[in-house]
Amino acid sequence: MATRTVTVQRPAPMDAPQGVVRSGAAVLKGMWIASRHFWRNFWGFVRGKPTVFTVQYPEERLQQPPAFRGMPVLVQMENGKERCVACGLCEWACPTDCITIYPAETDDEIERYPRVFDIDMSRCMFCGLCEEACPEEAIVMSHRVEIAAFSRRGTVWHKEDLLVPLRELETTRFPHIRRTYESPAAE
Amino acid sequence: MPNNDRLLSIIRGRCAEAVIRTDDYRGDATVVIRPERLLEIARVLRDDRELAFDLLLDVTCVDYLGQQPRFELVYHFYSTRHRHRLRLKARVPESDPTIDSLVPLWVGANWLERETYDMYGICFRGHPDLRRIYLYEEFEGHPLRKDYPKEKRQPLIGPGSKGTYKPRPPEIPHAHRVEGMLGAELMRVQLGPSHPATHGTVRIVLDLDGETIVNADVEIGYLHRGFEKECESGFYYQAIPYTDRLNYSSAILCNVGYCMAVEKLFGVEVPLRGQFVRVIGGEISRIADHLLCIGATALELNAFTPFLYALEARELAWDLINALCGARVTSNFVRIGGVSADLPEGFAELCQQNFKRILELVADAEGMLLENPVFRARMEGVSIMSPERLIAYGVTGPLLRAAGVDLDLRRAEPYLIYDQLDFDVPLGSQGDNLDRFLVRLTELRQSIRIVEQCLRLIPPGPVDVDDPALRLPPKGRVFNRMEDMINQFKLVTEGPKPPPGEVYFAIESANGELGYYLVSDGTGKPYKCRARTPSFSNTQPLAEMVRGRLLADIVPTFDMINMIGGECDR
Ligand code: SF4
Ligand code: SF4
Repeated sequence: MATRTVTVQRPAPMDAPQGVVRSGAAVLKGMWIASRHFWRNFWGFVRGKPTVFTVQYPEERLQQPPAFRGMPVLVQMENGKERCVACGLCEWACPTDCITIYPAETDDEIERYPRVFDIDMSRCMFCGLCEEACPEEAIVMSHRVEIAAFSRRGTVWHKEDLLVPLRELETTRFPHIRRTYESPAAE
Repeated sequence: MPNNDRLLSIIRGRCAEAVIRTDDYRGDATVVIRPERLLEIARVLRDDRELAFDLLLDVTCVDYLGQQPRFELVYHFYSTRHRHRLRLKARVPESDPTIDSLVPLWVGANWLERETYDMYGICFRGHPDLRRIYLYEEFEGHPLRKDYPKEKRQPLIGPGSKGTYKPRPPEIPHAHRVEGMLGAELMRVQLGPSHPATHGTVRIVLDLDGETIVNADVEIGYLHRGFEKECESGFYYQAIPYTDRLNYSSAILCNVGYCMAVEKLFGVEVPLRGQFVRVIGGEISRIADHLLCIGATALELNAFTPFLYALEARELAWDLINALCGARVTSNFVRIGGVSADLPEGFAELCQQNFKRILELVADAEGMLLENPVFRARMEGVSIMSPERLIAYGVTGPLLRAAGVDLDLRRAEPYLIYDQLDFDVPLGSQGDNLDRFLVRLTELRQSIRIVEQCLRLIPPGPVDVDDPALRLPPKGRVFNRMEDMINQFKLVTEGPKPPPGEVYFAIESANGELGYYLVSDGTGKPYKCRARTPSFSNTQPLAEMVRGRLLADIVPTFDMINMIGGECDR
């Protein structure tokens, strides 16, 4: 197809005396542009439909798209247990080595479970590779982002803190990851 | 596609006894030479009319620990006239890691060789100013050598550190120093490392004669974080999030370059739809990058209002990226063998809506700036450098195009689906800061045009290759089929294993040629993962551009170079 090279058009030089007139005109034009933005925002404010771009966090929050990657969390099933089987794939895949898992066994239907499952949120970079590696859809990127803590130690999240009920995830991240299930490569 | 056989036979003919071996792997022409003949061959490469390799893209080294000779110097060249590429390699032993410097032929080799010295301890004979570039003087060892452990402590760092930091006066190397005009004493001024009028952590040491800059030295490395070492210690797929951090204002482009380099190593190509999605993501990133550059320039020249318009527009571009891959800055979007997700529903409408507003905002910002006498006075005619000199420095991208050189890899070596698209490559006529600004503005509008075309033309189909050797199988199959479950385990724990070999692959990123040089030894981890980043080469001529100009001219020049710390310091 046609790609062309074009030479950019430079605006006419600002030589006197026309330059002086044009400079004056430019100032007026700048004021016109800025006041247009002002009146637009003001009108939006009066009508109760703000057009200002700033979001007043934390009172106001953005609606995130399903693809949004917040902090990685563990899926909590209806029975209150985690879905994770402690296979360790997420630990392998994590580029920053911030996941720590100690596996253990029980007599439940799913025999393996993580006795310890820690994520060091100060090192996690929300990349989502753990979610991609997990063969059980047990660790997913939630829409939660608030991980501030008062101490370094507080940035390590344990299993109990990481569990998020299935219901919440079903409306946030799951629609995004499940879209790939029906990819034409699948049977 | 250039003819590598012909190229290699010309080189063999010109300097037969100096060439040890030539090969042509995955379309990359390579010449292995005797190290003592480097300067002579390099001169032939540059000056021969049929070869005309005028652009020295990259100098690096690979440490083959345990082999004799141990270090392999690797040079990448490009010819803007013939549009062909060449890789030159020469081995030097550990006992005497010395080779001739290429600074007499390409001034741009200066920083590249300093980096190689810093990282590998290679000495360059005849280099005017061989100091460390990223690391500090007290640093012990050369970190990219294979026998340098990643967790090694340095004397100045960590508990129990023994050394003490000796503050030293800012220095300008003798080789660059000139006397002031009036013979009066020069004033030493430091700009940076974090100066409010420069976006990017960089220290510029200046000698001023009145307000005129007599000497300048640019010191980089404040954001150095060992990108290459980090990539070499993880699997191929684990490096993708790190590439985000190279150019954090257009992360998807960095992802695309890296993944395509790995795919070149494998010799695979992603399905057509995947290529379209990559172009869409990449071009939206480019829009965001140019918007930041334009906005920050306005801000640093004291025009605050257009800055807000540009940033609002960038926010809209980031909203699109957020909808695409779930993060605004750290996209981690592209995968080896595909992309992490297909376009979301309703993406085309969202694009249409946001682009409309972006164009309005850009027009407003432009309307406030281009006729403004202050803005014009600080941009027009400032920091002109001839195209030949820019090329000698290894500058690429909008900076070079503003000087009138038609070099855009999307057009010169079309990759992905760029040959099916319709877009303009803007060139400047005078090569001053105003041209650089206008080139970016035009490119931004062209990128919008490209995305709109892609959204119209994008075919249905898969976005990923269906090959368990490099791309994870779809989750639905992992749950239901044993075979795919095994593939998932294998790929995650061992990483994709490309065949042994080496490739260089470059894309046109927002600031110029972004190339990756990968060496595979057949394992799941890259033996060498080198990023040739445009900001590094583009920042180098800054000192020369501002020499003889006023102190205030540094700000617009630095803005137009658009140095991205993450990319420059790696
Ligand atoms: S999101 Fe990335 S960094 Fe964080 S735990 Fe998962 S793999 Fe590790
Ligand atoms: S990959 Fe999934 S199932 Fe395996 S340990 Fe991690 S969270 Fe648990």
